[in-house]
Amino acid sequence: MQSVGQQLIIAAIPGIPLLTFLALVLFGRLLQENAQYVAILGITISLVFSVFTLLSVAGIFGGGGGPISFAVNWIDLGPGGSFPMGIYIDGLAAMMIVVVCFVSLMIQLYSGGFMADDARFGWYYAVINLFTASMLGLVLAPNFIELYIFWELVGLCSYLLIGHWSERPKATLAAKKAFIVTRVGDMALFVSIIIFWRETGTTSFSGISQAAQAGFMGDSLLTTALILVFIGACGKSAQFPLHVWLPDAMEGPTPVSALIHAATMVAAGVYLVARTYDIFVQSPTAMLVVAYIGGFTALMAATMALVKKDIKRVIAYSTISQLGYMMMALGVGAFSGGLFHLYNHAFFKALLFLGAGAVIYAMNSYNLTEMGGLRRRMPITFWTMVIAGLSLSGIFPLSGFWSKDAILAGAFDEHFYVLYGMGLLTVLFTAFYIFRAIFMAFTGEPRSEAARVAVDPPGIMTIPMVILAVLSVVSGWIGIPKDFGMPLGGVFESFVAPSNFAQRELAIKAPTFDYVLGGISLIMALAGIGLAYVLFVRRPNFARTLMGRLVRPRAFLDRGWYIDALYEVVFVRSVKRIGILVREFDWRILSGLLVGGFGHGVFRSGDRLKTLQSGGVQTYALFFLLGVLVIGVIVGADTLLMMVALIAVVIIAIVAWGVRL
Amino acid sequence: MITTITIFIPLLGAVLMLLLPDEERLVRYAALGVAAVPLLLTVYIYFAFGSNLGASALSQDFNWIASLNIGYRVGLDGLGFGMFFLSALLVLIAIVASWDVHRNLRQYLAMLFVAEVGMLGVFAAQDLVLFYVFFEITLIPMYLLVGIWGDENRRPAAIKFFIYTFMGSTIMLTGFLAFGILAKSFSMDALTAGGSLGRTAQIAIAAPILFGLLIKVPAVPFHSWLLDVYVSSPTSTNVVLSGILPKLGTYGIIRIAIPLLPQGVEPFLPYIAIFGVINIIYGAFVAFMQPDLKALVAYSSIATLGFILLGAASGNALGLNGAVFGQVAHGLYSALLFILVGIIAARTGTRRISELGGLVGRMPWVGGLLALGALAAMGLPGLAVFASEFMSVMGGYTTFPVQGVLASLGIIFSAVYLLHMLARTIFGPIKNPAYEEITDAGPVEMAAVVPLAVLLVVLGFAPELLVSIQRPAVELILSAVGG
Repeated sequence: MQSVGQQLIIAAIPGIPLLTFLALVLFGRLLQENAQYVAILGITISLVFSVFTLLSVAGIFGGGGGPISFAVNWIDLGPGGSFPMGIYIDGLAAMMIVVVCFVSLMIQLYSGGFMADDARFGWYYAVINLFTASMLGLVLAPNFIELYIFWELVGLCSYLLIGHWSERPKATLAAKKAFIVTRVGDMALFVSIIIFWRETGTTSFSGISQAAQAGFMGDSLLTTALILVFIGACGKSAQFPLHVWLPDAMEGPTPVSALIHAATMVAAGVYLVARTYDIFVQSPTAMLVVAYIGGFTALMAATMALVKKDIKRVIAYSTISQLGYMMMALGVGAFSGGLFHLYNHAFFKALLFLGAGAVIYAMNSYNLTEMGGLRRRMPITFWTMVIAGLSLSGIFPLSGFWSKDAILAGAFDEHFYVLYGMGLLTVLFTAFYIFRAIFMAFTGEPRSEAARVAVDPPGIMTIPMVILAVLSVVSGWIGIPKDFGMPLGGVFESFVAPSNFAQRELAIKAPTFDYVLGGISLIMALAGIGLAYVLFVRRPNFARTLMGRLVRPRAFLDRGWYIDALYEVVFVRSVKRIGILVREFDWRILSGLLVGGFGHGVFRSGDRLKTLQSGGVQTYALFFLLGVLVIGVIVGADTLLMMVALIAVVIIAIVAWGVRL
Repeated sequence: MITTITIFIPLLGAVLMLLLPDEERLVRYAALGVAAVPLLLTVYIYFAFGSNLGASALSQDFNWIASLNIGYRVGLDGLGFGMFFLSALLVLIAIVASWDVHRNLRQYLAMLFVAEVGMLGVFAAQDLVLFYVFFEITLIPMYLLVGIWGDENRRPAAIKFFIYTFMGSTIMLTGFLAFGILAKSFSMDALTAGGSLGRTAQIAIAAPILFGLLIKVPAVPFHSWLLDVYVSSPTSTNVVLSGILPKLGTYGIIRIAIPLLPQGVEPFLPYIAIFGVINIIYGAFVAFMQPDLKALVAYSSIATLGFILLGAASGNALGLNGAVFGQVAHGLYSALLFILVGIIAARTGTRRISELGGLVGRMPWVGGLLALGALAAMGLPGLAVFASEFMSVMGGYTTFPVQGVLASLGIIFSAVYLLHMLARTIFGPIKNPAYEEITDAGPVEMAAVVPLAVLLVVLGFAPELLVSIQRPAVELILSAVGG
């Protein structure tokens, strides 16, 4: 049951940040630094409303629980098709809106410090709020068209925020790259939507799912459409081969990176697959594609993170890798495991970026080789980063341990042993690269003057970090497998399970805890941390010599397996070349030779040119008038005709007046 | 009667321009005052008759040449209303945006008013000959606006424009005449579904009509008149030239060719869809490497028109609604971009993309709105163009899957060339130290662009405002095609 009041409250969740956006666009410069208070007040209300909604959906508060949905007409063509705009909230969506609002609030608090000196402070907050509103709209969408609308708006906001410091050419290029690469995915998503529409006559998720179950779509067409949906998800969630935009996106302000990587944008792709999971499970081939692309991306990105010198890029590759885990989980059928990781990842990844931002804020440098010894100068940053790092690595009993274990156990239980092995190797790499970065930044001797004088940032920035650190430990405790015997065990999985699931039994199995599997992944994580400790704390000299020896493999990893370079040659340059070719064709051949030649042939002499310019048109107009009159005389003039003639005379008089010039 | 009054009020404006003394302020205010009247009348029509455009208060039917059954027949329907409104709006905005015209201002505005008569008339004409007459009335003033007030390259540009489109409309006229004489009427009502003509006759008549209309759109490769004339025009002429004139072509296809000659057009539809795809892809590629900002916008306009062609060819409710809606959306965004390009060129003294850069820091409103216009052109949801493009492509795909998928490539290509443009014009470092001094848009300039931007957003979020009006008319087309 739902009342109008409840609908208003739900509509206000994305509505308030949208209003904040409008208000700040119009009055941002007037408000100056007060813009942040407007924004923070708005997002806090949205957060309260979304918690309220979550409790309603869970049945804890108001009504008996269960999904909430309502819609209005957006475009209605009657039998020609109708496209409603609406809201559908089940457990999955409710969980997401709380996470999005919460992370957005943390980032907006933190930005008050980090962005304090920015010339376009109000605009920054405006776009952050549009970003949040778009992501919320995306999460709440019950159909593909509405999702696509917000999906594109999310892309737009990331473009604006990555390119926020637009006077830096690198930032503008990175923003452009992010938008175009994700647009490749968007096009695939759009084509999938039109395929679904043509075959099933609907764009709603539940309608397509039912139609697909009823056999409206052939198997191969269904698989094609689902793979296109997944390509769309790959664009947003930075999965191979569309992952190349994300590392460059680090050109944006660090809080933006936190927002993009934790709750908005990259989560959208995983969410899309989860939202349409009951369609995906009907095509085993599409599921396999999701699983293997995810598993491959997880491992690939983890290797790239091993050697990065830029602290933000280490974390950026880590995001690609962790998103790969989530996709893999969805692909192998560990539905709740993948979403559980999405949820936990939001907190510790936001924290990692905010910590990196604190270091950058203190040192004005991204370069790990210029850091060192920051532990004593920045204790809060250090300890919160360690907690986030441990959680990312999957150390018991922090949140990351539980969700990562759910994914690996899911892969193992479904007999995807290759994927399980890749996932396990990724655990080792993950623990290694994140603690390599932490050790390089925080231990040893300061390697630059800036590192010697760095201090923890002000409270407005550390408070969100501390809150996120607490969550990085405890957020996972609501998803501990039931058989582990914890009080809140299994809450998460039963909550996010889609209520309209077609083949629930097939796709969703209650995760069980296996001490052997859990132990193995814990050992791998500890091994990674240990290796990083040995190389970067105990024997830094040895690490340096080792690196010196391994120039080629290091360059291979550092350049991202040369995938970017390949794209540069294959796509960027060839498209530019085609562009120039087509432009020249248009100028010289089509316009110059064909049409120009024709024109020159007719008006070669200047005299005749002049006649045509003025006299010609006059003559033409005069003939036109004469024609009208002649026809009138022949047919027999009546009042109407006289009026027409009069109008014609007036027009011709005015034209003649102009022609005289 | 209201429709007739709306159509001919601009003629009074033109006469008024003839009589007024040569005083710039007075002339401008008088022109604004007159141009506001048709706009207010269309707004009144929207609210008073929106659900019933067929009302007798809006239509008139006088026999003009009885022996040939040619009549002065005007009336509004859902297909023409959007453009009828947009013509009134864009002429008003063009007058606001005529700040770069000082020489012979009265004549300039008089020409604009005469062109408005033609434009309003085209979208209200219910008779083939009347349609043709109004169609041609737009041509001469546009030719003069470019040929007299354009830049140094104006003369060859204007002549090319005139000859090319005049040739197109003459070819179209032969089709009209054959149609009317064979079917014994020029009334569009009487001619619905081919009058009494058989399939072969319909095909023979449809071919010249479609050819003439495709030149007007223009469909690639008949577009080469467009570039020179767009680039040479003064800003305010661009507004009308890009906002309204191409729609004379698309509107003719949707309003005349398809419902009046359904069997004749049917074999051509796949090719119209292909023309649409070519426009989308070719326009984007030529725009990508354009050195001139205005030329880039011109090609972007060609690309976006491709979606309208695709939707029109689809022959289903979704695609046709997308096409009809797209005409208005296209007019809004292209007018917006051309005005902004005019402002930028006036401030910086150049339109060369390579010489611009970093403008958004100095002129946040102009830069921001340029970005908005570019985003509209790339079909960003939330802006009106998206609503039309997704309907056009979905409808197009339903009938012609291959063309539909190829048109979707426009999603990527448009982003590539438009973001490339934004990165080099408004973003990046300021390339020319002189740009440190330039100022943002003033109140008059804002008055010209803000209504367009607002309408893009409003129609993007609430397309039903227009779709609800055009839907019954589209259903009539479909019944003509089906029957």
